[in-house]
Amino acid sequence: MYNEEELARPYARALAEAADALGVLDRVRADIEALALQWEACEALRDWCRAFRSQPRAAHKAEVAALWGDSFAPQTRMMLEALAVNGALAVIPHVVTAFRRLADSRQGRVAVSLVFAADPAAATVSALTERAKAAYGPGTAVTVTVDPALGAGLIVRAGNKQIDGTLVGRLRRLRRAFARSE
Amino acid sequence: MNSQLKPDELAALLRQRMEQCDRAVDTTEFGTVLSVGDGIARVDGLTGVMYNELVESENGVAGLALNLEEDVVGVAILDSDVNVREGDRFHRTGRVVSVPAGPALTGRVVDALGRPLDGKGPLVGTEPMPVEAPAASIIERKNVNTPMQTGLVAIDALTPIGRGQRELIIGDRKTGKTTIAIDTILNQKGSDVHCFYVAVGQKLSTVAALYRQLENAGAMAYTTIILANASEPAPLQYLAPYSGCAMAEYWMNRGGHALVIYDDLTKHAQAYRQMSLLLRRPPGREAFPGDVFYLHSRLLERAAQLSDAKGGGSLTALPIVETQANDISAYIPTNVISITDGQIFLEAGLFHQGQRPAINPGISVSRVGGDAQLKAMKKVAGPLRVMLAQYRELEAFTSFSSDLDAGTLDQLAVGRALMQSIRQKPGAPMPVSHQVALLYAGTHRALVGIPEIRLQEAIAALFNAIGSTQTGQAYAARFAASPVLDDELNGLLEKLTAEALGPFSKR
Repeated sequence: MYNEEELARPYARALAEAADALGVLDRVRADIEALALQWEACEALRDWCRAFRSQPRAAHKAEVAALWGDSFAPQTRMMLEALAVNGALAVIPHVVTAFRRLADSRQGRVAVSLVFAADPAAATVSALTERAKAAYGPGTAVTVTVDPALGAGLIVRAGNKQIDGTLVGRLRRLRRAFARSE
Repeated sequence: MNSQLKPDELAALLRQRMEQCDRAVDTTEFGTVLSVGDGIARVDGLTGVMYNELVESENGVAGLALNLEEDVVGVAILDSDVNVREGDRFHRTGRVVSVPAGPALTGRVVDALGRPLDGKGPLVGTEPMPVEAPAASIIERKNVNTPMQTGLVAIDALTPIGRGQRELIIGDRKTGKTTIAIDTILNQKGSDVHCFYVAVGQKLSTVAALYRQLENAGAMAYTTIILANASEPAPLQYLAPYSGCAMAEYWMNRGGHALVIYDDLTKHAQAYRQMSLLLRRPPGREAFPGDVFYLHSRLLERAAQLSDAKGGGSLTALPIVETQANDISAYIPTNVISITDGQIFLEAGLFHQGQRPAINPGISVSRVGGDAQLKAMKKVAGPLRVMLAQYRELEAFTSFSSDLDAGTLDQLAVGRALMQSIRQKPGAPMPVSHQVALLYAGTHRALVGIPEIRLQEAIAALFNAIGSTQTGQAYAARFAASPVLDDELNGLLEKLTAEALGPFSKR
């Protein structure tokens, strides 16, 4: 079974481990974000990568160098060469996603999201954002969304922790508790 | 929950439950589904999840955390995976999988998670039991000492099973493996044994027929069927035997007695192999994962005869394994043979010769059941194995020769009569007193002079005599009072066989 996400994970993990060990995680992360932007913006790049077929190693090194030049850190270039050698350039977006996750984990970054059932007061958002930054660092990204299906209350998600204070969540918990108890 | 509650009591109970479980805010850990397919989801997150912990998606789909890798968790979905999509969140529950257990399950058909499948309404008054539990320790056990009568004379005499024992039933397809298990369940009628039949990877029509058979015989009054049929996802087929075991442990832990039939562990291993391959665990021999031995050993080790200090309860396990072309040296059969306390080997050749149950007495064995055998049975069945082995050897030898001496012909006649006498129709378990009388007749040459065509008739007459003649009634009463083959019982048996079988003898 061919699964692009599965295929991308070892490349992302190897890159994150190497960059972390060499102390260049920020630099490599910047490369990966630039690569993500290029992928998003350039249809020709996407088509070229998807149509790319593995050839002898020397040709790939040259092609990767021609395409991305010296703009990327050596670790990023080596990863792209490895992808090219294995004919797997099409999985670049999955490498980006997996790398972000691993880099966040290694750098202790936590993404915080606040999901409200109704439009929140600015003061509430501001207070919660301050609390999140105090807990997870000043660089913490906080996203705010509104989902009326929650009925009332809000959900706070930070990393893989969730604090559910919504009416819908409360009703769901009650339903499960009654379904379980005899 | 008691269904006889009054409205005000029910309201109070509901209020109490709500107070217990209702919290304004709930904090959980979650993971996001990266990929899903064939009943297995790969989930990012769930960093603190435990092995075998139950996880739940936001739309109520349950899963079992099985593979805890560095950056991803492999979750076996315990339901249809069509409701799980990439990006869905699975939350930790902090609980291991448990199933309902208790008297409410008796007479019911449930799935591997204990959810009713028989349309008889919800289960009430049950208690959760963890599906995975440690087996009883050495000091919590005692030796097997009470017989688990199957009602099949060939088994009770040659490979006796004791309460708390694990006896494997092994053979090719269509050799009567399930029939033995069902007859054993039927024979528990009127006893204190609770029966659990775990059907793994079987056709629904087969299980429906089996359910009807048990119900018609009144055996559902003490039996529970745990069903994970062939169309169920592999994780449910994997879980079903553990669920059945947990339900049976409920009785054992309370000093009761339970019998669990795992039908069959070959399909169980195949379901586990499917899951393991999808979880990308390295395959080994026959593509089974490395821990397939542990899969069955940890299940069967839970069968036990508990010590008196622990209540004296017992859990007897009868696992079934299907072989291909009588090959008991395949991977799963050798594994389960080495785990269990003996095996009943069924042979297709014997089955097609009309010898049913088609037990091969040569390689069938019970390692501990002899200790639990009734004294009278032990005494009359003692020479049986040797006599049958001699007969089989002679029979094979004489197929090349027609000129036989009188001694050999006599031995063949005795063996033929014995083989005939241990034939039994399905669904007709035999009381132990009848078995002892039959074996006495067989081993004391009382069946030898009877023409083969009249042998079954003669055996029926012997059983009839136990209930109807004065000698028979005296024998039955004496056997019920003390099943020890002393001079008195010997005399009664001699008289009974002479009276009942005399008219059939051509000598």
